[in-house]
Amino acid sequence: MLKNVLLILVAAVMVWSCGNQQAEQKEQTVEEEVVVVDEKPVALSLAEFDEKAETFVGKEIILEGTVIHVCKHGGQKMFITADDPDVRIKITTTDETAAFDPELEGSDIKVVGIVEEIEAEVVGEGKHAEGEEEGHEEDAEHENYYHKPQYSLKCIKYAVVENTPEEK
Amino acid sequence: MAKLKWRKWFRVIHRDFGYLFFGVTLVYAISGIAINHLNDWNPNYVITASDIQTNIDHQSEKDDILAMLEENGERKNYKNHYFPSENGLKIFLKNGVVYVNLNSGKGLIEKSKRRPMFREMNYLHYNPIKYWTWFSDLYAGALIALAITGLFLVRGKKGITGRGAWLTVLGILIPLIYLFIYFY
Repeated sequence: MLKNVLLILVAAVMVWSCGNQQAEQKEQTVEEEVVVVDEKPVALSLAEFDEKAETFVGKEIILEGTVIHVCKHGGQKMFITADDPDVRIKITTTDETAAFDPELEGSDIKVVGIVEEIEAEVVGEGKHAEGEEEGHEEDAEHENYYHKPQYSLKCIKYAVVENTPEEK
Repeated sequence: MAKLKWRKWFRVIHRDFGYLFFGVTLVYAISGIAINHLNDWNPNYVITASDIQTNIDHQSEKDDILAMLEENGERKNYKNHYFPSENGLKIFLKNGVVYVNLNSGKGLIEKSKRRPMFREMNYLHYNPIKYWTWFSDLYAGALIALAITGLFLVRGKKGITGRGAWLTVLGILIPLIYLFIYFY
């Protein structure tokens, strides 16, 4: 009896492992359908991104800027900026793009990606971030910042733009 | 019907999975230790920092920045620069970065050098791409199989009916005790 139970258990583990792969494959197929767009990507400047991003959600665009930060842990996100350092756009990887290399920092890059709305990072409705005391109130400035929709770019591909030192 | 020799199959599974996943086990184990201690070190890069005093201020332009880098032997490494804040300047170098306080002129040169092996292993540990996720799921399944089959490799008083049982229970209790103390 015990032998059979153990054999079934091992078999179940193996099936579960394979099942996970199939589920992911299925999910990816759906994702690919969403990602495919017929329109040619529109090039936006970083300055107009904030203003126009809402109309481009789910669509492909091109951005160009300087990489000012790459997440050092997993390289799953980076930020680019242009003339105005206050404008920083978050670029994230997809399942199919490899992690960003931290050595990209300081490079000028051209990114093709899909605009997506960043899910609210603030905890509201009675929920509190770790370490935050119960009853904490967000101040007005805080609220304005976080309650404005934020957008990022899901990177499909990118290329480093080579500049001569004189061009910079 | 021939009797199924389950113990033999467990040994075969344990042995072959052990061989097959030896490499990736080392990758996850070594990078796991490295990442566990992020507060103590940078597992991907060896960072060296040195303080500098510069003449850079709010009026400085690119030529001044390049001249300052020349003085500090970093002119050839210049990549780019920007002003992240009203009083701050960040200069990107090949393999490094320079921070300058525009009010005081004080700066910090941080040079980074890749840690061979660790960087690659940490990269894999962070699940960089979906194909690796597939493989690591498979590996996770194999670890479960290794754990289960491992329980039944040895018979007798050192096996799962003797010493093995005590050690197994201890191994389960350690995370449970931790959870009761720190989680619940």
